[in-house]
Amino acid sequence: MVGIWDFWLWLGGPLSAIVDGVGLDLIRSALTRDYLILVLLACFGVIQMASARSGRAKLLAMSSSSASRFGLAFIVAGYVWFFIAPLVVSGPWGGSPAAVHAEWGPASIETLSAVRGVNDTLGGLSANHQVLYLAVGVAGWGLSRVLSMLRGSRGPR
Amino acid sequence: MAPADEIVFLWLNDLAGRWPILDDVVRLVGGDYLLFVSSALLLLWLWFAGRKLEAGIWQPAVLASLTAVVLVNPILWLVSQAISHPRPFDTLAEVTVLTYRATDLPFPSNPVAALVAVGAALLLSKVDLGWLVLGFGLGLGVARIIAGVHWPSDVLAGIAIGAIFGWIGTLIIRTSGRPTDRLLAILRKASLA
Repeated sequence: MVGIWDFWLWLGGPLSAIVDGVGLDLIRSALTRDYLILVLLACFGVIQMASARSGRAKLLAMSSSSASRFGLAFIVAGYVWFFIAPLVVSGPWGGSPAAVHAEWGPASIETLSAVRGVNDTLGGLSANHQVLYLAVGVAGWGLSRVLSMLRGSRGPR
Repeated sequence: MAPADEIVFLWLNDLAGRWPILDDVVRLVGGDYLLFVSSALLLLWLWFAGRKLEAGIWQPAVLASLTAVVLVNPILWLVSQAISHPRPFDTLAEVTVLTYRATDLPFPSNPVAALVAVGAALLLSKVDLGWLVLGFGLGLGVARIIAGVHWPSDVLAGIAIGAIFGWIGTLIIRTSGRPTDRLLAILRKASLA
């Protein structure tokens, strides 16, 4: 059955395929999707927290006091999604933690810490991929800017 | 392999596989994601968190960190080509490996060098965050020795090279003067800094 997470998988798939110049790879697609979600949530959260501290009204998506709390919540959500969600979300990390033996399914408590430990030759993200995908953080900045404009925020910064 | 290198490696790797909790921590800390994403987020925070005067110090420090990382990478590649040795699990018979068996050259430890370069560059402008990222680098190095994928000498070389390039990155940004000021001025106009 095609579910919401299969759809999300397709968001990560084409990106990794464009970067690699090869076809879709299930492990890399899942890892790319989850990494992008982590980066987007965490970057948005960090920008909110930092802007609340420095008083950058043009980047605040909410009031300054809320931005500190919700910013932290976004950061935590990003980490939880990337490192803990495989316990409940199915992916190519069921069964054995070794990528080459992975089955489709959720991870277990015993295998959770090994889920993201995949060599880039077997579908993991290389350092170059990681740095490239960090650029998604710009979307976190864009989201902050748009939400700030919708709030009608004004200020010198 | 130097005897001291082997002795320290065996002592640390002996901790692997004894306690599941420690193994999980080692996999997370020594993995490819946790400390790198966290360091990148710290840099992002530093970029936007400074009030007027602070921003004038913190944003160049972020630029120095990025410069250090960009410059250290080709040097790491050159050093690894000049001085190469196999990974511990390819050398010793009884190594407990907690993560995937990397296939690239281990000397010097690239991830440790990158984190230390960032930490060293920050240390000169934002001491607490600098020490934190240096701690990340050290923690990553120790975790990767326990995990059986690096020799202690790989980690020490990564720390030394990273520290040197952290300082070089800072030197470049501090002496660059107008180009850095103009870049920051343009970014500030666009609310990007």
